Amino acid sequence: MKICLFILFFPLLSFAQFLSADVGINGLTCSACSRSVEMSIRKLDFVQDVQMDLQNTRGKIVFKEGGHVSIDKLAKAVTDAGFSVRYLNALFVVDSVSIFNNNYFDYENAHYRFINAVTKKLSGAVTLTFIGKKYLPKKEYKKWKKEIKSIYANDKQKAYYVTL
Amino acid sequence: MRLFLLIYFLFCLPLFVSAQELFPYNEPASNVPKGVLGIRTYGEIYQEGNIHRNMGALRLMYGLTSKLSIAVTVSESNHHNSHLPTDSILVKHQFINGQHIYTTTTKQNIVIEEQYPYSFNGFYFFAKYRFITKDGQNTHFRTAVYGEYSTVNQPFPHAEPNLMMDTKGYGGGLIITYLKNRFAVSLTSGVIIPGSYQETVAQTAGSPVLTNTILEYGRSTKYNLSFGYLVFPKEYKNYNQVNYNLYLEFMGKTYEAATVYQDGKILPIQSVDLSAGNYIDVCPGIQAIVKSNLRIDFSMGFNMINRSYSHNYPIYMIGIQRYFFL
Repeated sequence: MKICLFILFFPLLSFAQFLSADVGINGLTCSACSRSVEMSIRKLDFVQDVQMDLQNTRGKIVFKEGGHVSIDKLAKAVTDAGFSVRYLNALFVVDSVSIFNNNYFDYENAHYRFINAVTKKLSGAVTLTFIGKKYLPKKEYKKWKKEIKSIYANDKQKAYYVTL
Repeated sequence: MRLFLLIYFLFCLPLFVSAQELFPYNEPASNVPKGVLGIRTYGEIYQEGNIHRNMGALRLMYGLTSKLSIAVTVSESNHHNSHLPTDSILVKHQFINGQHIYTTTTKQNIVIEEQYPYSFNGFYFFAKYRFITKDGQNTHFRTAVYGEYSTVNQPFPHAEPNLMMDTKGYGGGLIITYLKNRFAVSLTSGVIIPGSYQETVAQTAGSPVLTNTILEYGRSTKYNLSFGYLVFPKEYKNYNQVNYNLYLEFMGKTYEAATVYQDGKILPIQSVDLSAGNYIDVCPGIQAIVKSNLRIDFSMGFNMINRSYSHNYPIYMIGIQRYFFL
Protein backbone atom coordinates (compact mmCIF):
# COMPACT_ATOMS: atom_id res chain seq x y z
CA MET A 1 0.00 0.00 0.00
CA LYS A 2 2.74 2.41 1.05
CA ILE A 3 4.57 1.64 -2.15
CA CYS A 4 1.48 2.24 -4.26
CA LEU A 5 1.03 5.66 -2.65
CA PHE A 6 4.70 6.31 -3.18
CA ILE A 7 4.35 5.61 -6.87
CA LEU A 8 1.14 7.63 -7.06
CA PHE A 9 2.64 10.80 -5.65
CA PHE A 10 6.11 10.57 -7.10
CA PRO A 11 5.58 9.22 -10.59
CA LEU A 12 8.79 10.68 -11.94
CA LEU A 13 11.02 9.04 -9.43
CA SER A 14 12.53 5.94 -10.93
CA PHE A 15 11.70 3.02 -8.71
CA ALA A 16 11.67 -0.70 -9.27
CA GLN A 17 11.58 -3.61 -6.91
CA PHE A 18 10.44 -7.17 -6.52
CA LEU A 19 7.81 -7.14 -3.79
CA SER A 20 6.78 -10.75 -3.48
CA ALA A 21 6.68 -14.09 -5.22
CA ASP A 22 4.21 -16.90 -5.54
CA VAL A 23 5.95 -20.25 -5.95
CA GLY A 24 4.20 -23.52 -6.74
CA ILE A 25 6.11 -26.50 -5.36
CA ASN A 26 5.99 -30.00 -6.78
CA GLY A 27 6.73 -33.23 -4.94
CA LEU A 28 5.42 -31.90 -1.62
CA THR A 29 3.07 -34.18 0.23
CA CYS A 30 3.52 -33.57 3.92
CA SER A 31 3.60 -30.68 6.32
CA ALA A 32 7.11 -31.61 7.51
CA CYS A 33 8.34 -31.34 3.88
CA SER A 34 6.53 -28.04 3.48
CA ARG A 35 8.26 -26.78 6.59
CA SER A 36 11.64 -27.80 5.17
CA VAL A 37 10.95 -25.71 2.06
CA GLU A 38 9.89 -22.76 4.18
CA MET A 39 13.02 -22.95 6.33
CA SER A 40 15.20 -23.21 3.23
CA ILE A 41 13.62 -20.08 1.72
CA ARG A 42 13.80 -18.19 5.01
CA LYS A 43 17.59 -18.56 4.96
CA LEU A 44 17.77 -16.17 1.99
CA ASP A 45 18.87 -12.71 3.13
CA PHE A 46 16.40 -10.88 0.88
CA VAL A 47 13.35 -12.73 2.22
CA GLN A 48 11.16 -11.02 4.80
CA ASP A 49 8.40 -13.59 5.24
CA VAL A 50 7.18 -16.93 3.90
CA GLN A 51 3.66 -18.25 4.08
CA MET A 52 3.16 -21.80 2.89
CA ASP A 53 -0.18 -23.02 1.60
CA LEU A 54 0.11 -26.67 2.60
CA GLN A 55 -3.09 -27.77 0.91
CA ASN A 56 -2.18 -26.30 -2.48
CA THR A 57 1.58 -26.81 -2.07
CA ARG A 58 2.57 -23.24 -2.84
CA GLY A 59 4.38 -20.51 -0.99
CA LYS A 60 3.92 -16.77 -0.80
CA ILE A 61 7.24 -15.06 -0.28
CA VAL A 62 7.52 -11.42 0.75
CA PHE A 63 10.84 -9.76 -0.04
CA LYS A 64 12.64 -7.24 2.15
CA GLU A 65 12.34 -3.64 1.07
CA GLY A 66 15.54 -2.74 -0.77
CA GLY A 67 16.73 -6.34 -0.69
CA HIS A 68 18.74 -7.69 -3.60
CA VAL A 69 16.28 -10.25 -4.82
CA SER A 70 17.67 -13.22 -6.73
CA ILE A 71 14.98 -15.33 -8.37
CA ASP A 72 17.63 -17.99 -9.06
CA LYS A 73 18.46 -18.30 -5.38
CA LEU A 74 14.77 -18.51 -4.55
CA ALA A 75 14.29 -21.43 -6.98
CA LYS A 76 17.44 -23.09 -5.65
CA ALA A 77 16.15 -22.88 -2.08
CA VAL A 78 13.20 -25.01 -3.18
CA THR A 79 15.38 -27.63 -4.90
CA ASP A 80 17.87 -27.61 -2.00
CA ALA A 81 15.02 -28.68 0.27
CA GLY A 82 14.50 -31.61 -2.09
CA PHE A 83 11.56 -30.41 -4.17
CA SER A 84 10.81 -28.85 -7.55
CA VAL A 85 9.35 -25.56 -8.72
CA ARG A 86 5.98 -25.90 -10.46
CA TYR A 87 5.73 -22.20 -11.31
CA LEU A 88 7.33 -19.00 -10.15
CA ASN A 89 5.52 -15.67 -10.40
CA ALA A 90 7.06 -12.54 -8.96
CA LEU A 91 5.36 -9.22 -8.33
CA PHE A 92 7.54 -6.45 -9.74
CA VAL A 93 6.66 -2.89 -8.89
CA VAL A 94 8.08 -0.31 -11.19
CA ASP A 95 7.71 3.41 -11.63
CA SER A 96 8.61 3.24 -15.27
CA VAL A 97 10.88 0.96 -17.16
CA SER A 98 11.49 1.01 -20.87
CA ILE A 99 11.44 -2.19 -22.80
CA PHE A 100 14.27 -2.18 -25.29
CA ASN A 101 13.70 -3.07 -28.92
CA ASN A 102 14.74 -6.64 -28.46
CA ASN A 103 12.27 -7.07 -25.62
CA TYR A 104 14.22 -6.76 -22.45
CA PHE A 105 14.79 -4.44 -19.53
CA ASP A 106 17.66 -4.31 -17.11
CA TYR A 107 17.34 -4.54 -13.37
CA GLU A 108 20.16 -5.05 -10.87
CA ASN A 109 22.74 -6.31 -13.36
CA ALA A 110 20.42 -8.77 -15.01
CA HIS A 111 18.49 -8.79 -18.27
CA TYR A 112 14.83 -9.66 -18.07
CA ARG A 113 13.95 -10.88 -21.54
CA PHE A 114 10.29 -11.02 -22.50
CA ILE A 115 8.75 -13.85 -24.37
CA ASN A 116 5.77 -12.48 -26.31
CA ALA A 117 5.96 -9.02 -24.76
CA VAL A 118 3.78 -6.33 -26.29
CA THR A 119 4.23 -3.20 -24.23
CA LYS A 120 7.07 -0.74 -24.65
CA LYS A 121 6.97 0.50 -21.11
CA LEU A 122 6.29 -1.15 -17.80
CA SER A 123 4.72 0.75 -14.95
CA GLY A 124 2.89 -0.08 -11.77
CA ALA A 125 2.67 -3.58 -10.41
CA VAL A 126 3.32 -6.33 -12.91
CA THR A 127 3.47 -10.05 -12.36
CA LEU A 128 6.40 -11.65 -14.11
CA THR A 129 6.15 -15.36 -14.78
CA PHE A 130 9.59 -16.91 -14.99
CA ILE A 131 10.27 -19.34 -17.79
CA GLY A 132 13.18 -21.76 -17.53
CA LYS A 133 14.30 -25.20 -16.50
CA LYS A 134 14.57 -24.11 -12.89
CA TYR A 135 11.13 -22.56 -12.75
CA LEU A 136 8.94 -25.05 -14.56
CA PRO A 137 8.42 -28.82 -14.73
CA LYS A 138 10.22 -30.44 -17.66
CA LYS A 139 7.06 -30.95 -19.71
CA GLU A 140 5.98 -27.36 -19.25
CA TYR A 141 9.43 -26.05 -20.07
CA LYS A 142 9.50 -27.98 -23.33
CA LYS A 143 6.51 -25.96 -24.55
CA TRP A 144 8.53 -22.77 -24.18
CA LYS A 145 11.85 -24.09 -25.43
CA LYS A 146 11.30 -23.02 -29.03
CA GLU A 147 10.33 -19.51 -28.08
CA ILE A 148 13.29 -19.11 -25.76
CA LYS A 149 15.58 -20.28 -28.52
CA SER A 150 14.14 -17.71 -30.91
CA ILE A 151 14.96 -14.80 -28.59
CA TYR A 152 18.13 -16.27 -27.10
CA ALA A 153 21.03 -13.88 -26.97
CA ASN A 154 24.47 -14.70 -25.75
CA ASP A 155 24.17 -12.38 -22.77
CA LYS A 156 27.29 -11.65 -20.78
CA GLN A 157 25.23 -10.89 -17.73
CA LYS A 158 22.55 -12.95 -16.08
CA ALA A 159 19.43 -13.25 -18.21
CA TYR A 160 15.99 -14.25 -17.02
CA TYR A 161 13.25 -15.21 -19.44
CA VAL A 162 9.88 -13.90 -18.36
CA THR A 163 6.37 -13.44 -19.61
CA LEU A 164 3.53 -11.25 -18.44
CA MET B 1 -0.34 -61.96 15.27
CA ARG B 2 -2.48 -62.87 12.28
CA LEU B 3 -5.53 -61.53 14.11
CA PHE B 4 -3.70 -58.27 14.69
CA LEU B 5 -2.82 -57.96 11.01
CA LEU B 6 -6.37 -58.81 9.97
CA ILE B 7 -7.73 -56.07 12.24
CA TYR B 8 -5.10 -53.71 10.89
CA PHE B 9 -6.09 -54.32 7.28
CA LEU B 10 -9.86 -54.44 7.79
CA PHE B 11 -10.29 -51.44 10.01
CA CYS B 12 -7.34 -49.20 9.42
CA LEU B 13 -6.68 -49.27 5.69
CA PRO B 14 -10.06 -47.81 4.64
CA LEU B 15 -9.43 -44.84 6.94
CA PHE B 16 -6.28 -43.84 5.18
CA VAL B 17 -6.56 -40.55 3.41
CA SER B 18 -3.08 -39.36 2.59
CA ALA B 19 0.43 -40.53 2.12
CA GLN B 20 3.71 -40.38 3.95
CA GLU B 21 7.13 -41.73 3.16
CA LEU B 22 8.79 -41.21 6.53
CA PHE B 23 8.93 -44.95 7.14
CA PRO B 24 10.03 -46.12 10.60
CA TYR B 25 12.38 -48.80 9.22
CA ASN B 26 13.22 -47.99 5.63
CA GLU B 27 14.71 -44.87 4.12
CA PRO B 28 12.74 -43.29 1.27
CA ALA B 29 14.52 -42.17 -1.92
CA SER B 30 14.05 -38.56 -0.77
CA ASN B 31 16.87 -36.89 1.13
CA VAL B 32 17.49 -34.81 4.19
CA PRO B 33 17.19 -31.21 2.88
CA LYS B 34 20.49 -29.49 2.08
CA GLY B 35 22.18 -28.00 5.14
CA VAL B 36 19.74 -29.63 7.53
CA LEU B 37 20.84 -31.78 10.48
CA GLY B 38 18.55 -34.60 11.53
CA ILE B 39 18.89 -36.34 14.86
CA ARG B 40 17.17 -39.63 15.46
CA THR B 41 17.24 -41.80 18.52
CA TYR B 42 15.52 -45.13 18.60
CA GLY B 43 15.37 -48.36 20.49
CA GLU B 44 14.34 -51.92 19.85
CA ILE B 45 13.27 -54.54 22.33
CA TYR B 46 12.32 -58.19 22.14
CA GLN B 47 12.18 -61.04 24.59
CA GLU B 48 14.32 -64.16 24.60
CA GLY B 49 13.10 -66.50 27.29
CA ASN B 50 12.97 -64.31 30.38
CA ILE B 51 15.55 -61.93 29.04
CA HIS B 52 14.79 -58.58 27.43
CA ARG B 53 17.14 -57.86 24.56
CA ASN B 54 17.48 -54.12 24.08
CA MET B 55 19.18 -51.97 21.49
CA GLY B 56 19.53 -48.21 21.60
CA ALA B 57 20.83 -46.10 18.72
CA LEU B 58 21.61 -42.48 17.96
CA ARG B 59 21.74 -41.30 14.36
CA LEU B 60 22.98 -38.01 12.97
CA MET B 61 21.88 -37.19 9.41
CA TYR B 62 22.94 -34.32 7.23
CA GLY B 63 21.96 -33.05 3.79
CA LEU B 64 25.25 -32.38 2.00
CA THR B 65 23.51 -31.33 -1.21
CA SER B 66 19.91 -31.46 -2.34
CA LYS B 67 20.59 -34.95 -3.69
CA LEU B 68 23.19 -36.39 -1.34
CA SER B 69 22.69 -37.06 2.34
CA ILE B 70 24.88 -38.87 4.86
CA ALA B 71 24.26 -40.41 8.24
CA VAL B 72 26.23 -41.94 11.04
CA THR B 73 24.67 -44.20 13.67
CA VAL B 74 26.09 -45.41 16.94
CA SER B 75 24.36 -48.14 18.86
CA GLU B 76 24.61 -50.12 22.07
CA SER B 77 22.82 -53.30 23.05
CA ASN B 78 22.76 -56.28 25.37
CA HIS B 79 22.60 -58.68 22.42
CA HIS B 80 26.13 -60.00 22.58
CA ASN B 81 28.33 -61.95 24.90
CA SER B 82 31.95 -60.89 25.22
CA HIS B 83 32.98 -63.87 23.07
CA LEU B 84 31.45 -66.53 20.84
CA PRO B 85 29.96 -69.63 22.46
CA THR B 86 32.98 -71.68 23.39
CA ASP B 87 33.91 -75.11 22.11
CA SER B 88 32.40 -76.59 18.97
CA ILE B 89 28.91 -75.90 20.41
CA LEU B 90 29.02 -72.79 18.29
CA VAL B 91 28.22 -74.83 15.21
CA LYS B 92 25.85 -77.22 16.95
CA HIS B 93 23.59 -75.05 19.05
CA GLN B 94 19.87 -75.38 18.59
CA PHE B 95 17.00 -72.98 18.37
CA ILE B 96 13.90 -74.12 20.28
CA ASN B 97 10.87 -72.05 21.24
CA GLY B 98 12.55 -68.76 20.46
CA GLN B 99 15.64 -69.54 22.48
CA HIS B 100 19.18 -70.44 21.52
CA ILE B 101 20.21 -73.54 23.43
CA TYR B 102 23.87 -74.46 23.74
CA THR B 103 24.70 -78.00 24.78
CA THR B 104 28.29 -78.17 25.83
CA THR B 105 30.21 -81.22 24.70
CA THR B 106 32.37 -81.38 27.79
CA LYS B 107 29.77 -81.10 30.51
CA GLN B 108 26.70 -82.27 28.60
CA ASN B 109 24.60 -79.57 30.20
CA ILE B 110 22.25 -77.14 28.56
CA VAL B 111 22.98 -73.44 28.61
CA ILE B 112 20.12 -71.22 27.59
CA GLU B 113 20.95 -67.70 26.39
CA GLU B 114 21.95 -65.62 29.33
CA GLN B 115 21.89 -61.97 30.26
CA TYR B 116 24.71 -60.12 28.56
CA PRO B 117 26.06 -56.74 29.58
CA TYR B 118 25.33 -53.68 27.47
CA SER B 119 28.11 -52.95 25.06
CA PHE B 120 28.86 -50.35 22.43
CA ASN B 121 28.34 -51.91 19.00
CA GLY B 122 30.24 -49.47 16.81
CA PHE B 123 29.70 -46.98 14.01
CA TYR B 124 27.45 -47.38 11.01
CA PHE B 125 27.76 -45.02 8.03
CA PHE B 126 25.11 -44.49 5.40
CA ALA B 127 25.04 -42.33 2.26
CA LYS B 128 22.20 -41.87 -0.19
CA TYR B 129 22.18 -40.19 -3.59
CA ARG B 130 18.92 -39.37 -5.33
CA PHE B 131 19.35 -39.64 -9.09
CA ILE B 132 15.84 -39.65 -10.56
CA THR B 133 13.27 -37.09 -9.49
CA LYS B 134 9.91 -36.82 -11.15
CA ASP B 135 7.85 -34.38 -9.11
CA GLY B 136 4.25 -33.38 -9.68
CA GLN B 137 1.69 -31.65 -7.53
CA ASN B 138 1.12 -33.95 -4.53
CA THR B 139 3.06 -36.72 -6.20
CA HIS B 140 6.59 -37.82 -6.80
CA PHE B 141 8.59 -40.71 -8.16
CA ARG B 142 12.16 -40.86 -6.97
CA THR B 143 15.01 -43.30 -7.07
CA ALA B 144 18.21 -43.27 -5.08
CA VAL B 145 21.28 -45.39 -4.62
CA TYR B 146 22.68 -45.98 -1.17
CA GLY B 147 25.89 -47.28 0.33
CA GLU B 148 26.45 -48.46 3.89
CA TYR B 149 29.50 -49.34 5.95
CA SER B 150 29.74 -50.75 9.44
CA THR B 151 32.61 -50.97 11.92
CA VAL B 152 30.58 -53.15 14.30
CA ASN B 153 32.57 -56.18 15.38
CA GLN B 154 30.58 -58.21 17.87
CA PRO B 155 30.75 -61.95 18.66
CA PHE B 156 27.56 -62.64 16.75
CA PRO B 157 26.91 -66.38 16.31
CA HIS B 158 24.50 -66.22 13.34
CA ALA B 159 24.86 -66.42 9.58
CA GLU B 160 22.58 -63.44 8.90
CA PRO B 161 24.57 -60.22 8.71
CA ASN B 162 23.18 -57.08 10.38
CA LEU B 163 25.48 -54.21 9.56
CA MET B 164 24.39 -51.66 12.10
CA MET B 165 23.98 -53.86 15.15
CA ASP B 166 25.98 -57.05 14.82
CA THR B 167 28.45 -57.33 11.98
CA LYS B 168 30.95 -55.24 10.13
CA GLY B 169 31.01 -54.96 6.37
CA TYR B 170 29.49 -52.89 3.63
CA GLY B 171 26.50 -52.89 1.36
CA GLY B 172 24.64 -50.97 -1.26
CA GLY B 173 21.45 -50.91 -3.22
CA LEU B 174 18.58 -49.06 -4.78
CA ILE B 175 15.57 -47.28 -3.33
CA ILE B 176 12.48 -46.59 -5.44
CA THR B 177 9.76 -44.46 -3.89
CA TYR B 178 6.44 -43.54 -5.40
CA LEU B 179 4.02 -41.21 -3.76
CA LYS B 180 0.60 -40.31 -5.11
CA ASN B 181 -1.88 -38.18 -3.21
CA ARG B 182 -2.83 -40.49 -0.37
CA PHE B 183 -0.58 -43.44 -1.02
CA ALA B 184 3.15 -43.99 -0.62
CA VAL B 185 5.13 -47.07 -1.50
CA SER B 186 8.86 -47.67 -1.42
CA LEU B 187 11.07 -50.56 -2.40
CA THR B 188 14.54 -50.95 -0.93
CA SER B 189 16.70 -53.61 -2.45
CA GLY B 190 20.37 -54.23 -1.89
CA VAL B 191 23.24 -56.48 -0.99
CA ILE B 192 25.25 -56.84 2.20
CA ILE B 193 28.86 -58.00 2.06
CA PRO B 194 29.75 -58.67 5.68
CA GLY B 195 33.21 -58.85 7.14
CA SER B 196 34.21 -61.71 9.40
CA TYR B 197 34.56 -61.88 13.17
CA GLN B 198 37.70 -63.26 14.70
CA GLU B 199 38.70 -64.05 18.28
CA THR B 200 41.44 -65.93 20.07
CA VAL B 201 40.28 -67.02 23.50
CA ALA B 202 40.88 -69.78 26.03
CA GLN B 203 38.72 -72.83 25.38
CA THR B 204 37.78 -72.96 29.04
CA ALA B 205 38.25 -70.29 31.66
CA GLY B 206 41.80 -70.19 32.93
CA SER B 207 43.08 -72.63 30.35
CA PRO B 208 46.43 -71.72 28.81
CA VAL B 209 45.32 -73.24 25.48
CA LEU B 210 44.00 -70.58 23.15
CA THR B 211 41.61 -71.25 20.32
CA ASN B 212 41.36 -69.08 17.26
CA THR B 213 37.86 -68.84 15.77
CA ILE B 214 36.93 -67.02 12.59
CA LEU B 215 33.29 -66.63 11.69
CA GLU B 216 32.58 -65.59 8.12
CA TYR B 217 29.01 -64.39 7.79
CA GLY B 218 26.86 -65.09 4.76
CA ARG B 219 26.50 -62.54 1.99
CA SER B 220 22.98 -61.28 1.93
CA THR B 221 20.38 -59.59 -0.25
CA LYS B 222 17.55 -57.61 1.22
CA TYR B 223 14.23 -56.62 -0.29
CA ASN B 224 12.02 -54.39 1.76
CA LEU B 225 8.67 -53.01 0.74
CA SER B 226 7.06 -50.16 2.67
CA PHE B 227 3.61 -48.64 2.49
CA GLY B 228 2.61 -45.42 4.19
CA TYR B 229 -0.58 -43.45 4.71
CA LEU B 230 -1.52 -40.24 6.44
CA VAL B 231 -4.58 -40.65 8.65
CA PHE B 232 -4.79 -37.14 10.02
CA PRO B 233 -5.14 -34.29 9.20
CA LYS B 234 -7.59 -34.76 6.37
CA GLU B 235 -6.89 -31.23 5.26
CA TYR B 236 -3.69 -29.35 5.95
CA LYS B 237 -4.27 -26.02 7.67
CA ASN B 238 -1.12 -25.23 9.58
CA TYR B 239 2.10 -26.70 10.93
CA ASN B 240 0.66 -27.19 14.41
CA GLN B 241 -1.68 -29.98 13.39
CA VAL B 242 -0.35 -33.27 14.65
CA ASN B 243 0.07 -35.65 11.70
CA TYR B 244 -0.71 -39.33 12.27
CA ASN B 245 0.65 -41.82 9.78
CA LEU B 246 0.21 -45.55 9.52
CA TYR B 247 2.81 -47.81 7.98
CA LEU B 248 3.13 -51.37 6.88
CA GLU B 249 6.63 -52.55 6.06
CA PHE B 250 7.78 -55.90 4.78
CA MET B 251 11.41 -56.68 5.55
CA GLY B 252 12.83 -59.48 3.45
CA LYS B 253 16.30 -60.98 3.58
CA THR B 254 18.14 -63.92 2.04
CA TYR B 255 21.57 -64.91 3.30
CA GLU B 256 24.20 -67.53 2.71
CA ALA B 257 25.50 -69.94 5.32
CA ALA B 258 28.30 -68.87 7.59
CA THR B 259 31.69 -70.51 7.56
CA VAL B 260 33.41 -71.23 10.86
CA TYR B 261 37.15 -71.81 11.11
CA GLN B 262 38.59 -73.04 14.36
CA ASP B 263 42.38 -73.13 14.50
CA GLY B 264 42.46 -73.20 10.72
CA LYS B 265 39.94 -76.02 10.25
CA ILE B 266 36.45 -75.56 8.87
CA LEU B 267 33.83 -76.82 11.31
CA PRO B 268 30.78 -78.48 9.79
CA ILE B 269 27.70 -76.34 10.42
CA GLN B 270 24.95 -78.13 12.31
CA SER B 271 23.06 -75.16 13.67
CA VAL B 272 20.17 -73.49 11.86
CA ASP B 273 21.55 -70.15 13.08
CA LEU B 274 24.64 -70.54 10.97
CA SER B 275 22.92 -72.07 7.94
CA ALA B 276 21.64 -70.24 4.87
CA GLY B 277 18.18 -68.82 5.23
CA ASN B 278 15.57 -66.35 4.14
CA TYR B 279 12.62 -64.67 5.79
CA ILE B 280 10.12 -61.86 5.51
CA ASP B 281 9.04 -59.91 8.58
CA VAL B 282 6.01 -57.67 8.58
CA CYS B 283 6.17 -54.48 10.61
CA PRO B 284 3.03 -52.41 11.13
CA GLY B 285 3.73 -49.02 12.62
CA ILE B 286 2.18 -45.75 13.69
CA GLN B 287 3.79 -42.34 13.67
CA ALA B 288 2.94 -38.92 15.07
CA ILE B 289 4.58 -35.78 13.71
CA VAL B 290 4.33 -32.87 16.13
CA LYS B 291 4.64 -29.31 14.83
CA SER B 292 5.65 -30.67 11.43
CA ASN B 293 9.07 -31.63 12.76
CA LEU B 294 9.22 -33.86 15.83
CA ARG B 295 8.61 -37.37 14.62
CA ILE B 296 7.62 -40.17 17.00
CA ASP B 297 7.49 -43.72 15.59
CA PHE B 298 6.21 -46.90 17.08
CA SER B 299 6.47 -50.16 15.17
CA MET B 300 6.14 -53.88 15.81
CA GLY B 301 7.80 -56.68 13.89
CA PHE B 302 6.39 -60.17 13.30
CA ASN B 303 7.68 -63.01 11.19
CA MET B 304 5.49 -63.61 8.17
CA ILE B 305 7.47 -66.06 6.03
CA ASN B 306 10.11 -68.11 7.88
CA ARG B 307 11.94 -66.21 10.57
CA SER B 308 15.14 -64.50 11.50
CA TYR B 309 17.31 -66.37 14.00
CA SER B 310 19.14 -63.27 15.04
CA HIS B 311 16.15 -61.72 16.79
CA ASN B 312 12.96 -62.91 18.39
CA TYR B 313 9.33 -61.89 17.83
CA PRO B 314 7.52 -59.66 18.33
CA ILE B 315 10.13 -56.96 18.14
CA TYR B 316 9.09 -53.49 19.30
CA MET B 317 10.66 -50.32 18.00
CA ILE B 318 10.23 -46.76 19.21
CA GLY B 319 11.97 -43.79 17.63
CA ILE B 320 12.12 -40.02 17.94
CA GLN B 321 13.50 -37.77 15.23
CA ARG B 322 13.87 -34.05 14.68
CA TYR B 323 15.33 -31.79 12.02
CA PHE B 324 17.50 -28.82 12.89
CA PHE B 325 17.60 -26.12 10.24
CA LEU B 326 21.13 -24.82 10.59
